[in-house]
Amino acid sequence: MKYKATILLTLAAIFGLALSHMLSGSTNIDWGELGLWFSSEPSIAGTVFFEVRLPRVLIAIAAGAGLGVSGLMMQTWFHNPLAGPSVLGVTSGAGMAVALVVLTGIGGGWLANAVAASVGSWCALGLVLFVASRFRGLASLLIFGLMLNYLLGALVTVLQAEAEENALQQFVFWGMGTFGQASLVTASAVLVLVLAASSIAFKQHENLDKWTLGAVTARSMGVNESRLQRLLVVLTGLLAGSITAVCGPVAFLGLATPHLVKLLIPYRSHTRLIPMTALIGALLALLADWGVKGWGMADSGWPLNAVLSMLGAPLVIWVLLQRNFSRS
Amino acid sequence: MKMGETKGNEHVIRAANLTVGYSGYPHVLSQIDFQWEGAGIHLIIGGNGSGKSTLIRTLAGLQKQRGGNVFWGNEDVSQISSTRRTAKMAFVQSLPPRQSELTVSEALALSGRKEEQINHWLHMFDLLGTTAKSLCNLSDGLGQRVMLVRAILQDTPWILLDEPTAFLDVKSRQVMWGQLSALVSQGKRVMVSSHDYHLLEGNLDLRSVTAIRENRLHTLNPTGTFEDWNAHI
Repeated sequence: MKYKATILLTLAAIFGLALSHMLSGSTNIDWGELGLWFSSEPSIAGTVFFEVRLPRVLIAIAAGAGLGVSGLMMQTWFHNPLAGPSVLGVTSGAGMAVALVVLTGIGGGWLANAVAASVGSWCALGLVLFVASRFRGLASLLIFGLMLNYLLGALVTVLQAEAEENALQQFVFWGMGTFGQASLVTASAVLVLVLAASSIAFKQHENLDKWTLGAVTARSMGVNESRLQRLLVVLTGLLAGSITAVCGPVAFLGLATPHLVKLLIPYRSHTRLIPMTALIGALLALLADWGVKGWGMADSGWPLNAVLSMLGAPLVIWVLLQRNFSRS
Repeated sequence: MKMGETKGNEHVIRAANLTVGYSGYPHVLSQIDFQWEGAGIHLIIGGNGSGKSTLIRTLAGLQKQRGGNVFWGNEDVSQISSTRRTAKMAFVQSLPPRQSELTVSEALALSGRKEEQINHWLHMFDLLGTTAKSLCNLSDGLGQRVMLVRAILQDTPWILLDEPTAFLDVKSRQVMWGQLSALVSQGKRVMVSSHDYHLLEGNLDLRSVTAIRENRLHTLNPTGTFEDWNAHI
């Protein structure tokens, strides 16, 4: 299929899914009443639409697109197809920082969480970059990420054990991942951030392409290695941090989305990979949210990370089986 | 600086009191004064770990020297912007692009050259059948050949190759050396570090042979034999 047709089809699918999310549920939406939301006497339908469903759809789109793009950037930077914010401990770093502010009662507001999460992911990413140059082969870096995840997870567990019940409950729900906690303001803010970060990443498409050819070759082709690295760290940290702050540590989207894109299109240049990854990420997130809302027998539905793991894990195993990792 | 001066040695690579190596390690080469000029193949030989790669990367401006200067013409390499550097020097590293998923045509499109020009070189190097394949799915020999075409498309007076055949099988090595001569016929200056210099014995395009021994550079006779050269490393 042609690239433009694929883009248009994906956009249409996103739009359709988003619409179906916004129209389905126990409250019927009467379009005529929605305008009342802006008046002094908002209807229930208006409140449900603008304060529950619309933010949920917007944050799902933002999280899917943002995590997908940050996963793609990490896979490109580390020359490692299994890199991603959750695999390399970046999400855990954000989670650890949020746990610190929520469970100790210092913060709790979304802005405090977002700042903490971004700082947390930058620290984790800085650590990964610091050790990455010492590793040979693809597996060592991944095992380091796994250990970092264990370590940060253990610290969070200790914090939980020491926390008071109210804060703990809030944190446990956040930890399962959800698109249902965002307000219209936070969802819009994250979406704008994701759009901005993705456009900045897109501007680097040539440098990212050159980078895949190897560090020395890229340098000889005019790539400023340290500047590119700084930019990727800032962008990945911002994306993973802000999304984690609002949605919790969302699993698999960052790792799996670029691979799904590569199944769908034959192109491998970042001019096409970045837009396509953002779109497919958004689509995957909306699909997963159907799993969360649609099949759940319980009122709260299934936890997002459970659904994403059921979708993502088989995909990643499939990728592993397809690729030959002996030639690292 | 006079105009004529610039013109005359514009394409000379000159090491001035150059010391190369890595910080925290003994210097690979100390205070060398040397220059390479003229169309043809400039071969750099030396034993394992003698510093061939370090020297060639430093001369290419891709690695910081520990002391002294590298000049391209009259310009100090460290003062040349990365954009202008790419117009002066192309580089091929020894490791083939095994990790890159870019297709051959995507990788070569990065050169910004017109399609006819790209196709011309693809044809010259017998790569037309590979354009839709990802670099990571090519054999090392083919991958390295694509990287050579990429370097050619950069259209620079110099192409520096750091042990380009180190990962290739015997047949691919022979093919690659033959292709270097094709470059020289285009008026290119090619500097190459290698262990495979027996394949260059008697090559009429060989312009200079430099041996690295005991942290010094030694000029050898390009029309000499493989055994002559071996005696110096």
